[in-house]
Parts: sequence; structure tokens; C-alpha cells
Amino acid sequence: MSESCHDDHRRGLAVLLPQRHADDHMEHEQSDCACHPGANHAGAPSPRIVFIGNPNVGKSSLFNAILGTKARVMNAPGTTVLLERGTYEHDGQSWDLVDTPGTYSLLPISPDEQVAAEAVMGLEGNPDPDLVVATLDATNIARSLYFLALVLELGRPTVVALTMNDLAAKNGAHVDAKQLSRALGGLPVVEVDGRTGKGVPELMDTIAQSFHGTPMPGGLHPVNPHTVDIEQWVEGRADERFDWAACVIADIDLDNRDDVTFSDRIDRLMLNPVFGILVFLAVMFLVFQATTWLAGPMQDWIDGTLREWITTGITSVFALFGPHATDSWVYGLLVDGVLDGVITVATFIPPMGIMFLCLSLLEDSGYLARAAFVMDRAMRMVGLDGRAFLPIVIGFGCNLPALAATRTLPDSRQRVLVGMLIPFSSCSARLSVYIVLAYAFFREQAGLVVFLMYVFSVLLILGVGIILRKVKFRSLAPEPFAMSLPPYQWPRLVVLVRSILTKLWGFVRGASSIIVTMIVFMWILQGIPAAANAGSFGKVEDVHQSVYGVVADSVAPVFKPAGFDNWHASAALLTGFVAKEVVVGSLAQSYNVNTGDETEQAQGEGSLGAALNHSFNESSGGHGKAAAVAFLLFTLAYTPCLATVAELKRQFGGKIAMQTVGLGLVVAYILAVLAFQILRLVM
Amino acid sequence: MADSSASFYFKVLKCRDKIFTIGYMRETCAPSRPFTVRTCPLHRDATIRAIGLDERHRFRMLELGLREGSVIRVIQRSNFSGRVVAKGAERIALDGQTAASITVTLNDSTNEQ
Repeated sequence: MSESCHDDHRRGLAVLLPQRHADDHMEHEQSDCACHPGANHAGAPSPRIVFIGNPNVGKSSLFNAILGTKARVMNAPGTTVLLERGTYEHDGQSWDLVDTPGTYSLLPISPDEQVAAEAVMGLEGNPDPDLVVATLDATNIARSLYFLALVLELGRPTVVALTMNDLAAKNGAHVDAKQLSRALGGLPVVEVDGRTGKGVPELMDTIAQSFHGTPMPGGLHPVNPHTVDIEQWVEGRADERFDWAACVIADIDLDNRDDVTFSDRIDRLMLNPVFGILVFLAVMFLVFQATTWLAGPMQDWIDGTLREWITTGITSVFALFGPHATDSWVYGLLVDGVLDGVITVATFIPPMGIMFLCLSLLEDSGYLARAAFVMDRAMRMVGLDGRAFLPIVIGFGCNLPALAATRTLPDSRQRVLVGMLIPFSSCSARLSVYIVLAYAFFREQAGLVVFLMYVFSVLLILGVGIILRKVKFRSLAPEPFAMSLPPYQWPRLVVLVRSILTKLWGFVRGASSIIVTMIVFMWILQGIPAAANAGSFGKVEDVHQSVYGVVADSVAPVFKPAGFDNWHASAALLTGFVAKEVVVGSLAQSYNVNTGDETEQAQGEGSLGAALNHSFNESSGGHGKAAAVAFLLFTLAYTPCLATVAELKRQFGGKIAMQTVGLGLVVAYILAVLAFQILRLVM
Repeated sequence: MADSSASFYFKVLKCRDKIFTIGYMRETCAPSRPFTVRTCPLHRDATIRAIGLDERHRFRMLELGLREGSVIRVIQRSNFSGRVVAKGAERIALDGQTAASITVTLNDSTNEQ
């Protein structure tokens, strides 16, 4: 680097940045500035600390290492972009910590980048940050420094968190934090490792000492984000920032070599045109198997053994109040309502935990970025990111962990689009309905019918995806794929466990209230007698004579154009809204058929199948098979379960959750009616 | 691709005290001829001459460190013509279309690996 470059770079060192801009429009902020923001005196808001950095630099790991379970995931106001926030206590003072989505620039090209940029610049209703923590990736120092230059020019007190230095050291490019701090004119630089927690106490101490201001390195020119033209500012001086970054790199004598690294060697296989796809498919298969095959026995244990233990416990407690205490509606409400809801939530913990584990492993190891690259072209055909393949595949096992996997998508529009498509993935719970109806109506071709349901599910995802892109997500134009690949690294066990527990707790806390409330509501509907001789509250023997039966009766005519205008079918579909696993049980209950321990095939071929044949033939005017196909398609396309709705609401908000439910119902109804009206001509 | 030509090379290998001579084809080119990242041979230093994307995405490439005058090296071919580019210690994955939009010329002093 030229001498002049070094001179410019060194000039103006140790200029303390003011905590706030002294603009007129920020007078209200200035009143806070008069005192030390860290003082946190009565009535003063907690200092706001914004974490920002490039994608895949370990920023979120660092944030979670600082806050642990205190971190709360939420949507940025008015958007579906996820932000993490939490309150951190330091020496009796509380700080408001905000983690932003990874971004390469403060000139955003996606909603997620826009949220990050606005948070750090204090725009669009975001308060000005009292301090910015800029994460600097030691393995990508030039680009990280360019981004740091942008952040520093905002004029906020800034602390640099230097990440990935262990990996940089392995590549022979270790960055000395003290040397870097000197090269940055005394700007605080703390080496951290979010995976181990190394450097976190030092980082927090440094933050505490930096609220009053941090030095502005020479060669950078502060701007006021409230008044400057952002585009002009970012684009206009980009070359100067790169030159500045080059000077800093020269100052710290960093050998930015391009030797073949360990990651390069692994990538020869992982990104190979042929093996790359095979490895990707193998990884997807393993994740799918883990969330279904591995989680299955645990779910069965919770649904069977644990439920029985708790039921026995509740029964024992009620027995203390007399021999007939278990006959009361309170007992029914507790066991068949509240406990059923709690068990439903609990059964989703194993697949969700396994999914979170798989995601953390894939993300932390660095493979997920490769997966996005390998699948980019294929998924681009439907306008999606390569990473969208994972949640959609997982959806064929269970929709709930699939929704959790949408977090790996960097663009919030993609997250919402994939979230709205996942319910069309035919989860394993729907399989029991397919088998029973296939054997009841198409005995010889039952296998083919079940297979076609999965083919139709894939076609539905593609078709609805294309329509949604043209109607709701028009701004999702295909973008050039250019992504920095993080080096491979071993995930750390402690961080992994902590991350999984945090996410699981978030799921349980967010989804349980909706699930339990809705299941209790369904129990109440089934418990209220609707006829004079139907029994008392909570003791209705024939569900058709309950309010639930009345609702099913009133809904049934809606399905007349689809050929299954009977209360048995509509009651089963209403129950299926809670969980698809109970559709077959609901049908058996409504037909008063005892299926015992029969397999789905035996149920379809036995008395339940006969009852279905009779009632579907009756309601469809002799076109039972066409009505059965319509029912199958409706089951495939409408809301998979209550837990999915709860998770959609938790991740994307109530509006998107309702839109997804509405979309599923509309698509399901159109498909069912079309299928029946066409097939009845030939079946 | 018209810009490149193929040459035949010999390589002498020693394995378990036996000497093998193998011949192989390799893409070669005149250093000054323009390539794109997609057509550029692997493991050769190249200088970016132009980025044929719209202004918004051209600037994003710049922010990723891919700007006119930068020295890069294509280190990996992936499916659908995707490429992985090394710029110093950084590794940047590009899809085939983006790789085809970046024009480079090979540097004289190429380090082969």
C-alpha cells in the first residue's frame, strides 16, 4: 500500500465519537445524552446496543452466548423479518441488546438487510443505538473491514467483536486484536468465540466503558444517517472504504493468503457437480429420517406411556374426593381437554428438538451455505433459495419442524413463501387417512392411490408456489447468487445444547397456549349436549348430539359439490384441523365402529371401510369413489394441524397464519370440488 | 468456448517405486484474452475487468470484494456451471449466470496448484 494511504489512514486518530448526533431533530435524544447512558437511572431507558455484521460471521452465536435463554425472537415491527432481543444486566444496569440479520451492506437489497440497516442507523422508527457491536470475521477481514467502515461512519460508539480468529489462525492469518485496535486508532477490539463463550465477559466490560464514545479511525468521514442520502453515501465512497480497509490490513501485517485450505479440500467433494448433489441428498435423507424415524418412538412414548402415567395420577387425586369424582365434567376437562392439549404439545418436542439439532449442526458446521449453493439452480426455477429445499423435504415428515427450518432462509419473503407452502407437504400424519380411504375404495390400486397423493403434494407445492410468487411475492425476482462461504468448523456441544434448549423453550412457550386453548374449546363443543336426551355437560355419549355434531351438520352441506355432504366427513375434517392423526379415529367414532388395534389397511378393508363406502356413495349419488378422491385431496391440502397454525403465528404473525389457513381451505375446496365433478363422470 | 484451447501435457508420477507417465488435456489460453469466471480455467490468477450486472447487483459484487481490478482465482466448478472464487482467504460462491457476467483476464504470473 502506498505511503499516502498510510498517512491518510493514521491521520485523525483518537477522535472520540460523540454518543449522539447533535442535530435539531434529535433534541429529545440529547436529553438522554446529558448523563451517562450506562447509569440507567430511574426513568431513563436502557441503553440500546445493536449487533451487526456480515452473514455467517458468528454474530448470532455470540448473541446467544451473551443472552442464552433471555433472548427473545420477534418480528421487526411491520415486517416478517426476525430479530432477536433481550435485556442484559451488567453491574446493576440493564442494557437492551438487539441482534440484526446478517448483511453485506447498509444499502439493502432485501427486507432483512433493510431491517438491519435501519436498526443500526436509527431510521424508520428505530431508536438511535447507544452503541454498536460490529462483528468482524477474521477469515474475511477485507470485506469485514469494508463493512466496519460503513458502520463507523455512522458516528456511533462502536466496539468490534472479532470472530472466527481460531479458523483464521489455522489458515495462517491470525489477527492480533490489539494490533488491529491500534490500526483502527484505538477503537476497542475484543476477540470472541460465541461457540465457547470466550471473550464474552471482556466484550461486555468493553461495552460498559465505551458508551461515552469510541475513537474514529483516520480516513473515514462521519455522516448523519438522518440527513444523508444513504445510496449516495454508501455508493459514492465505496472505493475509499476498500482502500482504507487495505491500509488497515497492511498496518496489521496480515498475510491474506489464498492457500488451499482444509475447507477447500472438503468442498472439492461437497461442491462437486455430481457428488455435491449426492451428498446434499444424503444429508436431506438423514435429517428427514431423524425427524421422523428417530422422533417417532419418543412421540409414541409421550402419547402413550406418559399420557397414561399422568392420567393415572390425576385419577388418583380425584379418587381422594370420592368414588364418583372421576365422573365429573372437571375430570373430563382435565384429562380429555387440558391434558390432551399438553400431550399434543409435548409430542412435538422430539421432532422439533431433533430438527433444531440438525439445523444447528448444518449451520454451525458451515454446510448450510454449501447446500444453498448446490440447490440454488434447482430451487431458482420456483423462485426460491437453495436452502428452501430443506424445509420442504422435512415437511413430508412433519410440517412443524419444517416451519422451524425456514429460519435458515436469509430473506424474510422467502421464509413466508416457504412457510405458506409447507402445509401442502403431505406429512406422515395424513398417511393414515390415505391408507384407510384407499383400501376402502380402491382396494387393488390402494398403493398407487397413496403414491399419487404424494405426487400430487409435490405438484401442489410447485403450482401454489408459482401462483403465490406471481400474486403475493412479485418482488421476489431471481437474484444473482453470490455468497461468501464460511470455513467448515466443528460445532461445540455446549453451545449446541444451549441453542436447542432455547429454541425448544421458545416453541413450547409460543405454541402451547394456542394448542391447549383450541383443544379445550373442541372438548367443550363436544361436551355440550344439543338434544334433550343427549346427556349432561361433559357426558355426551353420541358426539352427533353435541354442539360439535350440530356444527358438523351445519358445515356438511358446504361439501355437497365435493360429494361428501355428510356429518361424519365434516366432523372428521373439523377434528383433523386439530391433528390429522385423529381423522380416522373420528370417522370410526362417528360411524360407531370399533376398530380396536386394526391396522389402517384392515380398517379400510373392514367395517369402517364399509361404512365409509355406504355413506360416501349415499352423499355423492352413487359416485363414492369420486367423493373419496375429493375427500383425500381436501385432507391433503387444508390446514395440517393446530400446532402448525400456532407455529405459523409464532414465526410470521397472526395475519400470515390466517392467510395460510385460508389459502389451504380455498385450495382444498377447489381441488375437492373439481376432482369430484370431473371424476364422477368416469367413476 | 472460443477463447480457450486445449493442450496435451505429460506428467511423470512415481508410485511404489514404479514410474508412470500419463498424458492429460488441459485448457490453456493466452494471458491477455478475456474470459468469464465461468470459462476461466481453475487455479489461475485472474484480474476482474468488468462486471456485467445491473448497477444494484454490480455494487453488491463490489461490496463482496469482487470489483474491477481485483485478483481472483476460480477454485471450484460446481453443478449448473456454478463457480467458487478465491479472493485472498475469502471464498465466494457464484451461480453460473453470475459467473458468466464477470469478465476476467488471466495474469501472467500464474501459480498453478
